[in-house]
Amino acid sequence: MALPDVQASPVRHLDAAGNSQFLKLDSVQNLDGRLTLYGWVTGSLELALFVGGKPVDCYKTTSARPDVARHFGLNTTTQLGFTLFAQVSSTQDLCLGWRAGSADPYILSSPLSFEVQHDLGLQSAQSLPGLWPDLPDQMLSSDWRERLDELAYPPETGPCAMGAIDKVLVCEQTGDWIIYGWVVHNPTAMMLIEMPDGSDHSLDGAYRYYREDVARALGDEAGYRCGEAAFILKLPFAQTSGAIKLKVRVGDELRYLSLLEPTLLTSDPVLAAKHLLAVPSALSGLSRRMQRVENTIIEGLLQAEVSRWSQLGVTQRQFGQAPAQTTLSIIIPVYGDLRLVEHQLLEFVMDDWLMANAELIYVIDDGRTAALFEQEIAALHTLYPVAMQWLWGGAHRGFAGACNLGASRARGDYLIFMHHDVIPVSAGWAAELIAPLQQHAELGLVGPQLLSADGTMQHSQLELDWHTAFDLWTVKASERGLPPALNTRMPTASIGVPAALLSSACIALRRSQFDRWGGWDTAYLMGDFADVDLSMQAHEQASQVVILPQVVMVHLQRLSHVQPGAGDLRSRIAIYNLSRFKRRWLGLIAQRAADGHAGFAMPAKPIGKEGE
Amino acid sequence: MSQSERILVMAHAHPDLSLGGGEIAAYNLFNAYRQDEGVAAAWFLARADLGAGVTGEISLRREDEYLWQQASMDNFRMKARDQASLTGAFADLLRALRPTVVHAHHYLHLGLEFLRVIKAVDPTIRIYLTLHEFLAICLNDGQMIKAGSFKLCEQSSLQDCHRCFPDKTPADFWLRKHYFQRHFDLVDGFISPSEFLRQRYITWGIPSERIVMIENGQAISPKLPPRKLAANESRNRFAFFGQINPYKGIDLLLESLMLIPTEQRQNLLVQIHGANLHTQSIPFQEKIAALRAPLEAEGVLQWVGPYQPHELHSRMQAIDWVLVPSIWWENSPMVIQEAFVCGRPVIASDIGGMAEKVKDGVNGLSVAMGNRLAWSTALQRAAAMTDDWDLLTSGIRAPLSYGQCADAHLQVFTRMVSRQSLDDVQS
Repeated sequence: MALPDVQASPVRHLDAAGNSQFLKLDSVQNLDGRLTLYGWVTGSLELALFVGGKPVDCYKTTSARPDVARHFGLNTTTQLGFTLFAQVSSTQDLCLGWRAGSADPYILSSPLSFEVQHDLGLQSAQSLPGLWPDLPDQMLSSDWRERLDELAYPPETGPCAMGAIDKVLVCEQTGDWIIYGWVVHNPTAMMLIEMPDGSDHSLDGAYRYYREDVARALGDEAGYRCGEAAFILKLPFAQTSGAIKLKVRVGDELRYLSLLEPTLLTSDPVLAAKHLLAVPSALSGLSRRMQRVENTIIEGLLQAEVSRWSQLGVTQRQFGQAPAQTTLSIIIPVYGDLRLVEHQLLEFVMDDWLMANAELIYVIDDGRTAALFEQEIAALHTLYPVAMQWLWGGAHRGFAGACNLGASRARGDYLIFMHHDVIPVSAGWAAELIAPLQQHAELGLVGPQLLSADGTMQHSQLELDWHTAFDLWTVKASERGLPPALNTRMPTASIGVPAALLSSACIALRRSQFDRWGGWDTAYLMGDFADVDLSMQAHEQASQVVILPQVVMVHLQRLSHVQPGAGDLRSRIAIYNLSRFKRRWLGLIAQRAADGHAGFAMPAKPIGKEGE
Repeated sequence: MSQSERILVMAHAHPDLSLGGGEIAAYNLFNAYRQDEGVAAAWFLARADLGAGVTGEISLRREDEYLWQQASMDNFRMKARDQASLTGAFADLLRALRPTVVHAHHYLHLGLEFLRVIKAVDPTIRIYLTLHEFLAICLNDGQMIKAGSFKLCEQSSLQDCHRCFPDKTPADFWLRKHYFQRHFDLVDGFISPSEFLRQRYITWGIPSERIVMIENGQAISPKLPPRKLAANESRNRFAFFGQINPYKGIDLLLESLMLIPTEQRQNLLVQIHGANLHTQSIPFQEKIAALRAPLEAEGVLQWVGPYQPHELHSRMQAIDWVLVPSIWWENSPMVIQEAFVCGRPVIASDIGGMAEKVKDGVNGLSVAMGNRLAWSTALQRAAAMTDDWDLLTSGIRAPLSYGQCADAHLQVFTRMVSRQSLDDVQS
């Protein structure tokens, strides 16, 4: 008969009276022969360790396991947890044994599995339980003993606080430490973070939030405050290494609960943001959390990244001869699917005005496809002799950064920025888009009517919509999915339909204004919402924004602006971007709304200061 | 007529290497062009697989006939696999031959880019494209049948095509159509061998003034004399000619035979002159085997097997009716024209190109597509005919000869020198 695997799942012990007891071993640690076994048992089974079938000396302590007690419907203060200590010269056939009474024979488990450690890493120390006994000196070496003492609680007082540091991130660029963890404690306990230099910091400045796993594990232990157990604390600190400790002070007594070494946060702002924002907290409070923790870090990383771009080499290739008088530069960042480029070229090559007056600038923004694109575009140019250049800026810059790179090499007085999945449907579209800019100085931005592949509108207007749950404006696409014939926002002015915002899918503007406004704002993550920011730039400069319904283009990606409610990482990034948008344009939006300008909605109640 | 046109005929295959209807029609037309007074020179360029892979090489097959080792990537994108030879060997051939007209039959295996290269080499070269099926409209091998079923499809749409091919998004299908249409924009005129196919392409997006119908030409010979009947015998011999695949309705035909009462069934004889059953799926082969065995045992069915083109007339001599029970649209089935050349009325499904060519009670019988009972009734009705069969035979109009077909094309080329003048030809 197979021996019970007490590490894999709880083992049921049935005594002579028919009573069941359950036993489980959670972990086994072996530090150079010094064994520590953690587990739980629901009754009064005698436990022992066996090596090679023979019992060895061991020392046992107990602790509360409210999670186990709750599961079995027992008193949560019952000491169900156990820790066994033993020092052995051999671990050959190491087994746990148990019996109901001293008259019974031990039942042995299958041989225990474990990894041998040669020093006590901080992870190991941290994983030790919060309650520690006075161990017999012979059980432990002095160095181990010293470390354990740091973490120990005197068992006789019982826990007045529990907690752990889950993760510590260090941002070298901004000099910030971000500490993630959880604490529950009674009101008399003060929780402190001790930095590597010994300085103490309270959790008062931390962003606190509810953590389901902590609440479930600890329940409503007397005196504990589980409501907002989790914390994220950002602290400025010059060092980039050293252990950080979580400790509790009760009166004059100080005890350590947890310690951890930090991990360096990547300098890539998008990856860093994904890393930071992946830590779950309620979406509705995310904007406040970012204000307290992540915003300045992400902004700092984005600034550093943009500075880095200026030092990178730019690869440039020219195909064909650009027109002697370049009126227009069409700038198209390319990320991902390269096949779409051919569909644009199919249209461009049939547009006589475009061929004679425009230069085409493809900006590759994807290191994975840069080399392939060079081959593809060379082959395509033999079939589609459009004068074009392509650029690779050495790094993924996002749509805004790629647009700025393209603009830096553009020669035209007018610029059209467009996505590489936007396909014109007839010749003359480019000339039509810039014609109003040539004739009307009051115009700032001009966009086309964007359709989906099925011929319906992607929107008749993009409008700011107040999202009460997030205290943010989102971008609403009006009349999405309707045929263009049902567009209720038909021209009210001779030069197009006045618009609040334009989609970056295709935007035309003057080069001079683009330079004056400082180009695309690269401080939005992943390029999202840089287009609505550009629209706000135009409004700020009293330049009009219009859509020309007669210029029709197909945009194959139906959803451009991510909405914040989905809960996934992309929507968390959207909240970051929308928070930034709100900070920048709150005043102008309020002013536009007060002027009755369509597309600028204000909330019914006053907007609070962010972070409150 | 002065010799003005220099015509390069292009096809997706050469009849020396493949015996599909499209390449045979293209090759016959090429030969007819060569004999036409209005043509100064004609060449034939066929895509071929010579076992060396897609090298892109163009080689000489015989005088004025070339083979191009080209292939297309897939039916979705319809791009040529060897891109270099488009602007290399192919463009060189165009520069050397200096055609005034390129008459392309099909783009399968060639990709669509060759249309663009022709205009790039010389924008004055006029391009005419004969459409032999619905490949631009339908990704399902151009059949316009719902993928995974035999349900007929009336019209393509982004959503419906996505349902047939779920791994492709509606936007993917938009891109496919965009790619086809922008290349078709380079074509000066389209030729359809049937009005049915022409209408399908007009619905899809080709302007009606840019596509004309010209039937495929045939080698014209006098009608075959009617099969001699024995005393009290009726017109009770039927035959199917062509490829055997699930779309051709052979299984439906055999099932219809089984619906005829045994006594009456034994008064008729059906011959199958078919090829390539062995290339079909095993379940389909097994189904056909199970259906044919009892009928062959009764002597009602004769499985004659494949035939060479020159054998067709002798085989049609021995029968009274030609059967076309296809369960897909067909375009302009060659076998219908061949039957008419031989003076044999046709019994065909009442859809698509078949319904267009076979007029019920005029030159044959039209039967509800896929309806076994209707086919069973039609076979019994036909098998009982004698004088009525004579009437149907007299109602057959001779198809276009190769020469007439070439003349019709040359008129199109002459009068449709630009897209705008297509109106004149239509009128």
